Amino acid sequence: MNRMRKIPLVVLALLALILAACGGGGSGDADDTTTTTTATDASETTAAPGTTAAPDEEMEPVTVEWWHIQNTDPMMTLWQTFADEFMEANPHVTINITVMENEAFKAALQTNLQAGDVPDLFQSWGGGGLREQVDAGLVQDITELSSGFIGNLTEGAVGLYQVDGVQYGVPFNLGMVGFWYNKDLFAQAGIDAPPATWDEFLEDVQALKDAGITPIAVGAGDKWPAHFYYSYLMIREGGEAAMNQVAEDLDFNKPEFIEAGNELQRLIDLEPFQPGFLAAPWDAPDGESGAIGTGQAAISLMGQWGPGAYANQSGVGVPEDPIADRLPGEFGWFPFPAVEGGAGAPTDGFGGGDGFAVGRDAPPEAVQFLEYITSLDQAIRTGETERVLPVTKGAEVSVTDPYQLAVLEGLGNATFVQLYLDQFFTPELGAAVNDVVQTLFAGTVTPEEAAEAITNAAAG
Amino acid sequence: MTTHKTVDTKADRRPLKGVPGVAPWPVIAGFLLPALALYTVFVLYPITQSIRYSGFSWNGLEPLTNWVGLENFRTALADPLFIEAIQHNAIIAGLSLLVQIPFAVGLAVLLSRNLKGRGVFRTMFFAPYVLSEVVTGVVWRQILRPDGLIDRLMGSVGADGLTQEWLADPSIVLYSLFFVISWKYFGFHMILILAGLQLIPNELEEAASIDGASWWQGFRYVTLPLLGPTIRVSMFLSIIGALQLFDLIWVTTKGGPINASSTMATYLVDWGFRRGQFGYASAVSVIVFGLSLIVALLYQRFVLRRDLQGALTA
Repeated sequence: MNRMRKIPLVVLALLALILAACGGGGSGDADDTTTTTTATDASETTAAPGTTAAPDEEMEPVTVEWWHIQNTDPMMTLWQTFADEFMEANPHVTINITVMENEAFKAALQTNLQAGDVPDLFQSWGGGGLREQVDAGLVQDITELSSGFIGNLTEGAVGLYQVDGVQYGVPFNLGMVGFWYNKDLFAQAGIDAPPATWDEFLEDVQALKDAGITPIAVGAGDKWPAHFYYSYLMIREGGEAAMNQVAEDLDFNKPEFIEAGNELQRLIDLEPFQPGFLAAPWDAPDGESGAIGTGQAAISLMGQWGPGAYANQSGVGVPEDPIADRLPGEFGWFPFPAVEGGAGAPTDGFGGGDGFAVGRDAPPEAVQFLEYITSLDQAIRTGETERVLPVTKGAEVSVTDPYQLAVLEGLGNATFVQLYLDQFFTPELGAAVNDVVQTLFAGTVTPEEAAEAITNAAAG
Repeated sequence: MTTHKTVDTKADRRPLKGVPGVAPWPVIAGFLLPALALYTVFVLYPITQSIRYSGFSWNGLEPLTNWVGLENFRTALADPLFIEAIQHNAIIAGLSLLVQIPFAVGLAVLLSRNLKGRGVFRTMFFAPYVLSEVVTGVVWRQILRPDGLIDRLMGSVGADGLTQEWLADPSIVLYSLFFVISWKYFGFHMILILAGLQLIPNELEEAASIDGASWWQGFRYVTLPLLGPTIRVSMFLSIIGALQLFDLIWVTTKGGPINASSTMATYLVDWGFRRGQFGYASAVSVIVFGLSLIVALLYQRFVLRRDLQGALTA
């Protein structure tokens, strides 16, 4: 008796274990199907003409998983506010926000994508990364769903979230990289105007050095801040034509790009960077933003988000204060200077945007939410944070602080904008570009070897 | 004793039960199953999956279609950066054996004596081991940063000429990290060896000193040989730890700058999660697994032989 009872028990336990083990995959599939069904149901409803976010209680509840990287105030709070407002207007929608730091986000997203557990809305820079996600069928074609409002956004930004003419995401921010500089430190070094050419820039760097000021802070430990220099010099040397060419043939063994490396070498040879720059991250007390925010270095090549980060590291004031009051001295912005003999125009830009890609299983409410946060009123509120350059037409009026205005002007003058190279290419090649740039900054490779190494990485 | 009796009586009642004193198979299975299931799901299954992935060129997103055979292994073993990473592991392992263990032995011998406040010292030296690697990494990154605590401390005693870019200079960073690793783990080895010392009967050392052995002779010919098994286990843990080294490096330098502090594990994570080359990263993980297995087996076979009578490799 005793034994007879025991064996089935063991078998039962075994079965339970097997079930539990398989349960993970099984229930995941079930979830997916449910979401898809909901999605189709709802899309049929919303496809009907004239439907907006109607506050009808009988709608099936949906959840939108939203991953973003605006992990500091005021943007972090603003996104939460937008989500709360949207949920209030659409009671059937629940928006779950996951906020992550940039680098942590990249690692976490990769894991989730691989597991097929795609967030409904997630930070995207477009480019090669988005293309890979499209090829793997992880993001959703929202051409149809977004057609009602995508025309309200600037074409340049919208285009970043298209692959082969199909819309997969919606931008909210577009800027370009340029030089942020501390005017007070420039004055101390006897420099009265920002440099217009690369040679002048190198002279100013030397002048700052002679005055005992660390000329440049760069977060070469994170690598991408250093890649801004190399990329910009490539754009100045090669121009639009060369950049479009390399996007096709992935061949960096070109005289223009080697020349870009040589020019970068001239800068590095001046030893203009803060101590420990090779290990320094971008945004940390011991990073690039920390050195600039505390007035320990004069120049930083960074995008429109630069001043906000410097202010946060300055230890002065609170996030709600105007950025200018928190910075160590008066700051200014100048575009990357012209390079003599280069094919690129001094108005060619380098930058990119932020936006949200729409996951494959996202309900249409996710796109409606994107419509909400990029609508004119909300875009203006976004612009007023001084952290973002909204891409909604007409929202430029919200940009009033001189820093963001300078970037906006540079962007307005841009004859060509190249997307960040580490986002433009596949993640693998982007990482190779960044790694090679770090070795250039460490002085362990020649410009020729650098071009060779990137080309080899592209060849696989 | 009581358990024995119960088992015996049960076995008497049911003669088909097999060898007396051995639990019936459902009981064995019942106890084994939970652990076995977990082991299968979280260890065996991922390992077989890694081996499978390692034959593909795969970015982790697309379907597994691009079979490349052993190409990933060839690429990895031909990549100077991977070889460099292996060398870094070897350097850390070697330094641990040469510096960290002798230091721990010395401290343990010192603290096994009747020293005033030795309890306090033992706790103090052991404390770093209690911290997680991530906490250790974050704290030491701040201490070692330019113009950080170390630099200021050195400056205040007039040694500012000797300050270095501890984590940013590619030729120094590995040794800075070795220092941090030793700081974290020497206390652990010290405790192991202290325990070993307490197992050595006092009479033996007394006998040696009565026979006229100096302190050094007593230590060299009595204490040290008897401490052998403990030291060998300590060394084994050190080597395994050095091979697995990841968290602390990832938090402080991510293996940089320019891969100067990379280890096999940071190399593998970099290729998997930053470059999205999961096929290649899987191949690297298989190599790392193989290397660790070989080292562990060889060590057991040749060094731990006497300590592990009856073990698999003995």
